[in-house]
Amino acid sequence: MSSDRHEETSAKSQVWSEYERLHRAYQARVVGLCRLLLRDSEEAQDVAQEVFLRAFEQLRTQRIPDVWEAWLVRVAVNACRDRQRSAWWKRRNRNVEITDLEAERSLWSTEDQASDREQRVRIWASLAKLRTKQREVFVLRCMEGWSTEETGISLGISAGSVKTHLFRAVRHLRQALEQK
Amino acid sequence: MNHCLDDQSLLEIHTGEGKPAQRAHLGGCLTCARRYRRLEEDLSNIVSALQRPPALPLEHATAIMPLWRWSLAAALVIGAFFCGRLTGLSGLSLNSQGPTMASQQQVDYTTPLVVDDDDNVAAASYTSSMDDLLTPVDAGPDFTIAGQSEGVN
Repeated sequence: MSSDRHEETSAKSQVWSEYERLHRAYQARVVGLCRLLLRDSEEAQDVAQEVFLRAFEQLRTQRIPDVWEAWLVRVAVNACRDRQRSAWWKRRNRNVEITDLEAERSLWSTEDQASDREQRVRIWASLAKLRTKQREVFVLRCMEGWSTEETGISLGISAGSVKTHLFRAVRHLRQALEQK
Repeated sequence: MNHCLDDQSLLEIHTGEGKPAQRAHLGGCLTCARRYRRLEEDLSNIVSALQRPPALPLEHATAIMPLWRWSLAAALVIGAFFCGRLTGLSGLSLNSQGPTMASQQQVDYTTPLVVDDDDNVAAASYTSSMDDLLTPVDAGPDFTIAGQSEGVN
């Protein structure tokens, strides 16, 4: 009886230690990925928390994926997609006009009006204007370093589609760089 | 005939998926090499910009209401104000006598109401009938409403 309890306690502590290891190793990366996909730091934190909650569930129920990194990225992409599909998100984003650079400039102090800052705003605004699939492909291919095949499998599209989406995303983002 | 690589081919070379023939062309064509360098530079700038958080949190952008919304809100407020003004004026012009007359009438609350038998017998009988109605059936002549006999301090 007491040995059963001892085993249960040790299993729990093992789950916790593994969870903490995962959190330490991947938390920043998952938050960064979510921020790129959602373009919102607070929402990214929120979704990343959801992702790690699911990871904890996986650990607790002993359903350990082969590669945690790929699992976390895939779950994060899906969680971001779910968030963007929600009616609340659509309603909220109707009010978001991050492309209005003139209006944003008025909020900056004169010291902040550096060219690299303007460029960063333009790039983020351009990323926000990309189609969801284009954004996901760009983030996974160029920011996460996934291969075309891995990206295609993760997003459920063909390798050819990945290439097309990537090309369109890059073309759109480069246009943002050219705007002065 | 122009054999220069298109942008998609250059991107494929950059991502390590270019064909050997495309790579060979890139090695020998100055124009394509220049365009390829520019693509690499742009991608590097884009990636480094996106690795940092947005220059402004989106909450700021959400707070910026588009100009047309401000205009619409202002127009509605002004419209409501004038509508209210016009409605109020028309009401005054139609019934200008009523409120003025009513305000000028002075009501004398100090004069006691006296019912004279000669003047109005019906009024007196009405008063007595009301007394009958207000008096409880089972109450005797000494009936008093609770609190009245003791007085309210």
